[in-house]
Amino acid sequence: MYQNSFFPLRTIVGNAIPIGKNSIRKVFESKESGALAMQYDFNLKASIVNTKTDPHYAHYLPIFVINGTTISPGEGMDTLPLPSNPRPFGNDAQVFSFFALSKKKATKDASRKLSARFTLQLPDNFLVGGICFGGFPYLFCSQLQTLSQGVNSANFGLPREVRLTCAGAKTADPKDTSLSFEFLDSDISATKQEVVSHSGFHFLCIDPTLTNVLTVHFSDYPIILTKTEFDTVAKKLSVTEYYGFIIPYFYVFEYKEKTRYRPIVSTGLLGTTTNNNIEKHPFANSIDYKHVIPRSGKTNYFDFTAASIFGQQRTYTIRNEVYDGKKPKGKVKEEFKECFISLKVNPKKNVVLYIEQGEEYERCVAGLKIFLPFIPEVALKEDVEQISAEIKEFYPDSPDIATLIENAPRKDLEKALRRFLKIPRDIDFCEKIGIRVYEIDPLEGVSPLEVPLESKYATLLAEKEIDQLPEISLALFLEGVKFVRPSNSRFFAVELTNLDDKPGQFVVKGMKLVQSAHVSVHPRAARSQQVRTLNFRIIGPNLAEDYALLGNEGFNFSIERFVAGERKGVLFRANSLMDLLHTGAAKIFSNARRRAVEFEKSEIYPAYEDDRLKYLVTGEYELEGGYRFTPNYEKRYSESRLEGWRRSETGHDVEGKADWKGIKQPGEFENIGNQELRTHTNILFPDASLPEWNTAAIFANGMSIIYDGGDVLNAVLTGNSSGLLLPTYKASDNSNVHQLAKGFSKYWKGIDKSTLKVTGNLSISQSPYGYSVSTGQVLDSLVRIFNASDPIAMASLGISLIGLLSTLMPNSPTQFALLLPTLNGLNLGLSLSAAGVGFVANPAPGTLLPSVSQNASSGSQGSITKQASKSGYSYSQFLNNSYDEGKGYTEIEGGEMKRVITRKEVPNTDRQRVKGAEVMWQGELADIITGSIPLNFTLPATAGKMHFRTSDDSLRVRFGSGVGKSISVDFWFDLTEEVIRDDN
Amino acid sequence: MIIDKIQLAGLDAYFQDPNNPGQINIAGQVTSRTKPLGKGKQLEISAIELLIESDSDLTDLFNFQPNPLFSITVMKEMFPAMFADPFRHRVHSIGGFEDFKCGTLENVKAMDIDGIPTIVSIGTGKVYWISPLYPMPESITINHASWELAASRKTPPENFKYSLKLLKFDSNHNLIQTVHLTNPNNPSQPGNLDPTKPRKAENFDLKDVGFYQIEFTADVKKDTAIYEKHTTLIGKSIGTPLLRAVNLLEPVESVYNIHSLQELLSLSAEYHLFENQGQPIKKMLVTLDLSATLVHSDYAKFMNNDPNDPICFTDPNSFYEFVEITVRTDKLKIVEAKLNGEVLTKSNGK
Repeated sequence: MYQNSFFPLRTIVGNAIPIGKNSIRKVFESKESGALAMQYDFNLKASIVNTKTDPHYAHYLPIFVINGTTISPGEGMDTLPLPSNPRPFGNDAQVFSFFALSKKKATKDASRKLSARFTLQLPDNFLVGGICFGGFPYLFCSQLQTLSQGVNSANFGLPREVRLTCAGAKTADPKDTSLSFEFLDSDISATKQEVVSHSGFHFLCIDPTLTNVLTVHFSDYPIILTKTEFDTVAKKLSVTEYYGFIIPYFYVFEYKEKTRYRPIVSTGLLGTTTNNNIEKHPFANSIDYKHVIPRSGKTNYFDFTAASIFGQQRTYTIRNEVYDGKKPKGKVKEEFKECFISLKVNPKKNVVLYIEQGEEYERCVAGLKIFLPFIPEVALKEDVEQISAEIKEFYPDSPDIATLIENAPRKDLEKALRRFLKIPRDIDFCEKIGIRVYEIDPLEGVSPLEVPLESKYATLLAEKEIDQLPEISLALFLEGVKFVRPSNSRFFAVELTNLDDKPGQFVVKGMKLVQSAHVSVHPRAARSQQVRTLNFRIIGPNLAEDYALLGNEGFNFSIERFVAGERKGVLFRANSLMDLLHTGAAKIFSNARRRAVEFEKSEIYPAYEDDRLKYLVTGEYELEGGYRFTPNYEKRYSESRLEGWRRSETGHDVEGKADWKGIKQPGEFENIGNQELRTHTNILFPDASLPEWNTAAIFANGMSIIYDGGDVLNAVLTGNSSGLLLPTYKASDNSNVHQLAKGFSKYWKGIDKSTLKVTGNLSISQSPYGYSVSTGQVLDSLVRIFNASDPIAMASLGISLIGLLSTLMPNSPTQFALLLPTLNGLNLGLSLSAAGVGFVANPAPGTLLPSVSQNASSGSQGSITKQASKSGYSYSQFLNNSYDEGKGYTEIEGGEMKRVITRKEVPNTDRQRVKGAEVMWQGELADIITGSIPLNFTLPATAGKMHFRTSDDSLRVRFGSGVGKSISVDFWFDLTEEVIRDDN
Repeated sequence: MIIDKIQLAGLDAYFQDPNNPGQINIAGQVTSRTKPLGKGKQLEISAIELLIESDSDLTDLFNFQPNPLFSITVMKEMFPAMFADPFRHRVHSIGGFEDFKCGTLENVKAMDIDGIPTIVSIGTGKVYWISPLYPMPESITINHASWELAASRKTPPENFKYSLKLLKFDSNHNLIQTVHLTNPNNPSQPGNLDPTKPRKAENFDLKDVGFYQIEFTADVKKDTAIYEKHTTLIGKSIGTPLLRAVNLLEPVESVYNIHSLQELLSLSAEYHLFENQGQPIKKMLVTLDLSATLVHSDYAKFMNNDPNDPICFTDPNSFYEFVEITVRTDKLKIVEAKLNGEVLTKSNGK
């Protein structure tokens, strides 16, 4: 008796873990394997798409030599089409392939002694959930072994024992860095060993383990037939076999719990048996039809295997030349598509397909869909007319099929069907087929292939006869072959019986197992089950959003107990979250919801209304002849520093922003105004350090003493220059501070105060008609003379001037030193004298004619002006721009703020809510409901001796409207199982 | 379908004189047995109601009598194909992790297979397990043995061969006798069995057993289905689950060998003594507690292979599930025994 759990809706297969090509090593090989010169190989493919072809495949397909004719696999036989969807992993997942084939022939039974071990280094620590692997579905196996021992000699290329060890899992002790396997009794290995494997994907699941190192151990290799020679005359048979395995698909996957709710259940073929007569030598006559191209010498064959019914169907090409396994040669004559075609089965004989669910947990299976194409003999015309009418209902423009084929002979229709199916022309369809489906529950140690269908370990689930067109279409499309009750069995047997009166071949184009829409548990043949509890778990982001629903799609379920012909008992029903919770059977872990929109008012306390205190909060006031409240305050210490610039513009062409319109329109930027300005100017005498001006000042002040002695003398004596006629100032007597800068130096910032010396003006006058004007060169030369940089020019000018003067003034001096002053004071005028009229150059100025002169001044003046002004009007408008950068620092040193906060809902916003983040599931926020319902009833083993009131007893969880995408649903049963001790 | 459970009633509820069908008075040293149950039938017995009447004073029989007054035998298929009275046998069950691991294991490992501790072959060599030596508080007799193998009898015979021995030792741990349980025809000689053969040895009567030991060997040729977690194995492959338990049956005195009416009353749920003032007790009604479920067995054996032949009801070589009552005393005038029970019937539609 052992505890078990049944998870019909759960999958734990997460993503495939990437394994680098160099991360796998072979670390062990048994000595028997070495003795057989076993060749191991493994390679990494970027995608499952790349597994379609591989040079290894051809080595596993046998060659037949019959009476000297060599029949080798045809073109397309050595390919591996993709398994049909849904596949466990996406096309972008890397996939490993393992191959092993001995070089020495298999001569004795050494399967169990052959083993090898590989280490896989993962790129990082992953939460490993297990491994997934699949074989090569088309290997030839011994029918004799299948029939007599229930084993598949080739086992679809898979080793019968696969062991996974997670070696990298670490202990959690902070003081220790050991690995988990260092515990002596640590169950870190998981072994899966099977008597017979199926042709689909296999899962070896382990408890989720965080590790980066795995070890995979393969053992008990199957036998691969590579050559068979028949001599039908001498009745001689010889076979050439080798040990090995072929695993085209190998994945390591992460552990991740998810809901798995979809109709199609992955399935694999275990084997086929028949009660039709077949010859009793190992490979002479297989149940799968083998099409041999009629040629002499060398030719090809093509298999139409039972394993292809689940969708992996090879495409074959027949050319006018033999395919030798290398490059195809010759023209294409025909193409075939693989499906299951059986040998010719006599009337009332059968072929049985044993199949197995190929997922990590058993699912509740409600039936299967099967496509058995053939042209019925019965009511064909009427059925085609009916189907044609039905098609026209949906597609009015479709051709009238009934009319098209009305007069077509059946044989032609069969030819057309063979062409459509791409199968050989000599296939003789069986046109009346009985289908029976059994659930197989073998005892321990017994292969499912060995369970007779009439035994008590096989339970009939469905029976159907197909001999008409609507039945073909129903079996495929609508009803399928529906079971009398859903089954949780891992193994099934599909028996096809020839109900016709002539031999025929079964052609099965496709078959799928279909999951039940609900979850149920039923009695099994070989095991008594005590159903202890039904557990459930519903996860979704919005589960707790509305207690009137379960998720956005309105998920609902009920738990029903069916006992034979009695009224069903509804143990539990939940259409809403409230239903689930009110019985106490469920617990909810949800993220808190609160309003997203709220009205909030904050009033300083104390607050007043109509001059009265609005609130009195206990402990927050004192009564002292009135009310005393501690003040609300805040103490802050703050520092800040700002740096920036300001700019103001005003004037013509200064415009504001374009969008300042209306009252924002600024108008003209200008600065106008008027004012009355009164000025007092104190004109400064040049600095007394200049001798020429000092002398003049002394002279003037001296004269002033003479004529106005009192104040001036006093000023001289006292040094108070205010009484002087010419107050003088000498910078050197005032710490070298010039008069303009004295007491004002701060305001001359930016100007070199040493240049503020008042030096007086030097004026120069000249006649516009003078020599220096008329000859600019002479003037320029004159400048250069005084520049003393061109003595030659200076001499030349001097000579010119002397010459000129001596012409105009015969008595003019000729010494150069006297020349210039003479020229300076030279006036030209007319003079009348007794001697007549003459032209006289006279140094004294003349006034007879207007005096035209050109004046220039140089020097510096100074004045101190004091102004007083009175504004009459002032207007200024500036356009400002500024920029500031600032840093601030504030310390809050204390404070107290009492507030009364009032909240109210905002109308029409009740549905806007914000979720909390307390509960997560697989990295996403989710609400989780879990529960368990104690059941404690027993489902007896139907093959057992002990009797119960009935064995027609089941429990079903019915989903009212499916599951929906917004929630993840899981229902599982805790069972105690006991294998019956029936040795019969 | 459901077929109702009904109370056993009518003449079928009574033990009858096998030599006089219809006669329900089984006084006079009669042995009476329930009839074989057909396939699909089950009888759940909760008690036997007895009417006992005597010409003499029944109180004389309240004292312990040297020979039993009544014997009640419940024959059950205690183990597959082995019929024995569970009230007359003590079962020594050797199995479980402690028994397996405390013994000596070669090329085997004790593992949890489907929740049951099982000896599983490892690698490919010959398998050997010997149990610890079990001392008995006093000498016992062992007369039957049955053992459980993990593999069903439907397993192909060529998968493995095995042998099982029961070893008897003296107080000095010297081997005195070996019973080859897997040689049913001649337990004194070695013998191997394949998994299709019955897993029992009967009537070998090993007496004066003070110490015993079990030895198991096997030669495994093929592996079977396993899906288990375990401690790691270095370089070895897992083979076939083999032995689960060995059950040895020791005959003991049954409580249903009733030596006095006082014993009878102490085993009963109810009783009524027909007492009259100053008169001896000559009549009593007793409801004897007896819980047993009888089912049809495919291993039932009948004399002449005919379950309806009345000789089956007395023949000691007919084995099927029954309840049998034997009136051993001649001091009773009337003994009527009626079964209190419910009958279940099932049918699996075809």
